[in-house]
Amino acid sequence: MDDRHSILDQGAALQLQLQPCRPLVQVGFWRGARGAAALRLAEALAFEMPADGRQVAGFPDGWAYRIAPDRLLLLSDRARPLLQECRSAVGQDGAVSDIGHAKRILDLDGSEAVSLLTRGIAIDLGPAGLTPGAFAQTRLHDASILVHRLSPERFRLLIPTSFAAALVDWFVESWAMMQY
Amino acid sequence: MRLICPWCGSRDSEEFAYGGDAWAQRPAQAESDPEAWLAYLYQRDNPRGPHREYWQHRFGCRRWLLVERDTRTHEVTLVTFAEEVGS
Amino acid sequence: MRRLPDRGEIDRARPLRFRFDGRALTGYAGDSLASALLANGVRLVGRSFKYHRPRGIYAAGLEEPNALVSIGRGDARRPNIQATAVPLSEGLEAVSQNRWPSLHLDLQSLTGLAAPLTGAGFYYKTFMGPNARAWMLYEHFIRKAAGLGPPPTGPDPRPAETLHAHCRVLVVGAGLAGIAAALEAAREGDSVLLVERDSLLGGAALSTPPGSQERAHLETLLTALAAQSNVQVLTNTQVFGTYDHGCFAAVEEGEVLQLWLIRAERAVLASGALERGFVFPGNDRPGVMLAGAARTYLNRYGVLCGERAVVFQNNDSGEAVALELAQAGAAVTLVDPRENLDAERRKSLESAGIILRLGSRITAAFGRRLRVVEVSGARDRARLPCDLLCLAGGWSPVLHLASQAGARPRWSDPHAAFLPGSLPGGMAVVGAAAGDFRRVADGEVVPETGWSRPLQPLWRSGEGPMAFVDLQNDVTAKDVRQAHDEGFVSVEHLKRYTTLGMGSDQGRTSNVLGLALMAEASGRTIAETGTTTFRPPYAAVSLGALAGAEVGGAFHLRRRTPLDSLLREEGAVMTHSGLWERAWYFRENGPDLESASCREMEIVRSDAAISDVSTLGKFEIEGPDAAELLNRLYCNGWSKLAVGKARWGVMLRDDGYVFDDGTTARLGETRYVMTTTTAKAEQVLSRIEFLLQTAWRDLRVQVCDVTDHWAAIALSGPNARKVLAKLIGAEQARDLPFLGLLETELAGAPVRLIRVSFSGELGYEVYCPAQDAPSVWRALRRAGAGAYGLEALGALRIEKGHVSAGELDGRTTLDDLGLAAMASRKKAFVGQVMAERPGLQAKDRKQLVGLTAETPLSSGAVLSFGPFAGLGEGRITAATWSPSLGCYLALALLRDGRAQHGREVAVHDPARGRLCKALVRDPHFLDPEGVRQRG
Repeated sequence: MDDRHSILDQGAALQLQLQPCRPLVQVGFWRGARGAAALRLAEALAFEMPADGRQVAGFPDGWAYRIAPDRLLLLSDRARPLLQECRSAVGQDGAVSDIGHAKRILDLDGSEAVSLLTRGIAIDLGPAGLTPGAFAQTRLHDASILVHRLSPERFRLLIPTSFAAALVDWFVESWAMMQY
Repeated sequence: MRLICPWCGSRDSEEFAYGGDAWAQRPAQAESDPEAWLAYLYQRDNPRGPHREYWQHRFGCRRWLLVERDTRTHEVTLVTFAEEVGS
Repeated sequence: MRRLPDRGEIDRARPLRFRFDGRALTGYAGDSLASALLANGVRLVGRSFKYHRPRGIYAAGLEEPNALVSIGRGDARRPNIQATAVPLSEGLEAVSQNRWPSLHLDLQSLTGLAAPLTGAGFYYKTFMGPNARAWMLYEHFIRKAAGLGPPPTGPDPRPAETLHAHCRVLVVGAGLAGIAAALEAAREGDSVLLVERDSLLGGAALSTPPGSQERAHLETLLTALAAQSNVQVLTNTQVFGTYDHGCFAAVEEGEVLQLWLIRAERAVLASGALERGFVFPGNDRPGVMLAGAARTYLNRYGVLCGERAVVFQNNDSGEAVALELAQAGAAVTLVDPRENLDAERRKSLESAGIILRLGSRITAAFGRRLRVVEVSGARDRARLPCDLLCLAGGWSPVLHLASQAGARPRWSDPHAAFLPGSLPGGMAVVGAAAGDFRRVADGEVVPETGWSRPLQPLWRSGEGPMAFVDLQNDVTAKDVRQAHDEGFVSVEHLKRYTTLGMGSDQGRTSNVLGLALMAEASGRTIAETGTTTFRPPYAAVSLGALAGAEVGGAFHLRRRTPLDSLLREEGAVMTHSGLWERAWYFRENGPDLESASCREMEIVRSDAAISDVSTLGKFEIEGPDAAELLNRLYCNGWSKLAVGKARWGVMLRDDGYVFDDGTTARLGETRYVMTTTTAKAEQVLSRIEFLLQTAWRDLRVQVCDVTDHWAAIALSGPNARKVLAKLIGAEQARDLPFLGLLETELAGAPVRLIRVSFSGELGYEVYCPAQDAPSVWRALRRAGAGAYGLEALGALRIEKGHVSAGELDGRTTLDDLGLAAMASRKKAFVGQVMAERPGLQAKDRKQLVGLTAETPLSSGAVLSFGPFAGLGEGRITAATWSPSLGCYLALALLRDGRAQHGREVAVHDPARGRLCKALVRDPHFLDPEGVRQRG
């Protein structure tokens, strides 16, 4: 797969783009150290600690996803030493792992994006469910994915690198089925 | 079947992995009495009615959950983080 | 029977050609297959299940018991489809079923003459018990005689997809009550999903004549519905199943099979009610149909189903049918067991030319095609010539979806029907499904039912043979009586003994009649008799729709390593390992699996080669208590592992059996990276998370899955260090000790090198970030390394006697595998106590041994010393040809195996038809002292 390419034809009601790897770090805190270290990290990167596992918090050129009560996923849209920044903020009070190569970013954009997604994922994409600015971790077929809704018609999917090729095939084939 | 994950919200059971009977009390790591381990591993009540079981939200937050489910009606009366139960 | 020029909702500008049993016929857009057949004068559509009696169209919907056809051709053929539920389409091909050799000349209808022999329980009595062998003999004949349409044999060629829907309120059924319920919810701001089986919205209102009150009401509702943006409407879609916690399944079987999985906070069932007939001899003759069906064919499809019609009712719903048939030009007689009728209604019926026979009932019907019915009053008995008999025997609410959710229906005498009992939370039933029959009658009403006069309960109106209760299964009144006489008192037993209510119509027209006759026979009320439990699916669903798109190669999503594309370019032949695709062997090393993998083993043993092992599970473990976590998880100790060193570890399960193995390296004071086998990666991670979140909450440690972040390449062979030296410098390569860890740079990529060996040769594992893997692989190849695949990898480890998935099968202990010495005695670890129990310490357990042989060995083969009996003395877990040793090798688990070294054992492989001898020996075939890997 190319690092970045539009998978469906230009002008279609849906654009699908597989993005190159970006700085991505998982931070975990153990019990008792949750508060202080997490706040130091939030302050260092300048985001507001999300209260739950639904709202995405933005920071300059990046996003913070609270993927579990004690875990954060930090994604930067530009090259930067994110791992080191996190390590120095967290110190000995948490675990910091580079997983930048473990996930690929798949961007979906278009009026048919919701319709295509409802053919694979079982979360509510309606007004009572995943609204713009929210994220959800769910499954698509055999793969664990994170869905971040950027706007009503724009979605960012974090997909496991090992499933990326198969998932792109899935999207292209499901799209073809929708045109049937 | 749906479970309401306390972190991720209401999801299909396909996102979760069943983890067994949560009534069984795991002995302390240092426990050397085989009877205690045998009870933990093999003795099950299999109740008709309210039951406690472990589920992991495998395709979500990966938290282990304690679920209270009525085996007659499948009604789920409690879902909570396993780590918040007991001490 | 004829099409009327000025009636119906069909589009006469769009004729559609179709074929029935090869005959070319024409209908119109908007027709169902059944209405088009009736319009073409086709009265005979099938033969009955057991007696092969001629049958005609009886109903207009999913309750149809008779008109089963096969639709389509080849693998797209769908058997046992109700003609009443198929919208007509251009080129449709339908074939009648259950007749041989043809519909009109059915030789098997002779079975009818032998009817007394084939009553209730015929199969059980004749073929079970002492006569069970007779079943073997007759099965073929019976299957053919009782044959429904033959199923297609290939995969369903129609494309299929699964769609997920979420709503606040699901409304099932878009009749007047359903649309009203959807509007009510929508006006409160709820997101609403309205699902209708039919192609049009309106339900029973669509069967009423133009200008009816119902149609006017429908128009108003549809206008209001169109203005609501929060209502999604699905037509041609059947909700067929209710599942736990507000889940429902629905299907649309169009050109694309669409399976809808619906999650709703609330559900409103507006699934309507279905009419039923009466039981009397000949009630199955072609020309006998439900009154509501005749009305539907008349008003919706413009088909007059007979010129001389008799309408037989015990409630008010037949009157409208009688009036409309008369207005359409039929000669109509209305038969009603009730005597009283108010003057105004009598006048309106009589002025329409309808002959009234009150206080009477139909007691028999005659004619291969209906010719005559017998009408019996209190004093007289008459024969009326007719070609259509419309039965209005009452209405049964459709409660299947509520019943599937566990709601027991309750019997209501005024309705003569089962009504919804106590419903599960979040579920409501409205309209005719709730017993409000107002829309199927008109005028002044009885409060409970909406009828102007009470229904007179009447189930069996005439006595005699061939009085059918269940038309689809040919169950007669006599069969029900006989079942009772033979002691079948439970309705569930009645159903199974007589087959009443089974089949594609699921007894929609017959269940209540059967229960009523059962109650009569036992002297109980219907309420006391009870009803059967309904289970999904409500209507037949194609298996292809349930499978969806996840068939064939799409059954699983395949995982690929970061080297996948490159290895394919290099000529790797791939194979599956769990969800992973892995390089099996490389064509550059030989034209086929055997020659290539042997060559690859030789390269590893004599030179150096690399293999993609990125599929290993990899987990970063970090925290002040990381070492303590490892100490608890692994049976061996971790306290003394220095930073920059790695160690091989084995984990047990709580029950004492071996769980998994792998290498774990210490990256820093509080950071480790653990590897697991490919197969157990997810299970190991899940288990660690469980323990950390339940029993070991005191540990300050986090585990992060980095499996996909790191590619892994195994470099093995006596020249491995030379290869590495070219890339990282001779000094670094030389200084890396056995089980040492080095973080450095290779081909411009940050890498972790761990000196370990799976093959038994001098070996390294090279870990690098996934996207750098191709350049690292290329650099290693350029530096002189060959390539080897999964086959050679597996064979090399057999030569070395390393255990892997075949031996770690959940039934082996440390001692079985010769690893007892690994277990630490200084700490408590998972499985320690249970591993000590007598059964796991027994002397005669199967232990790991090696086998050598002159002929091929294969995994799964059974070992024995004496004659082969039972499970033998052991089994082979992995086998290969060894180019190094020049013989066949295997690892095996053999009873008390370590005491058997040097003995000859018989190897039985009945699956492959092989029997040979092998020599038992130590499993470490090659370099048991480990000189090579430490070299």
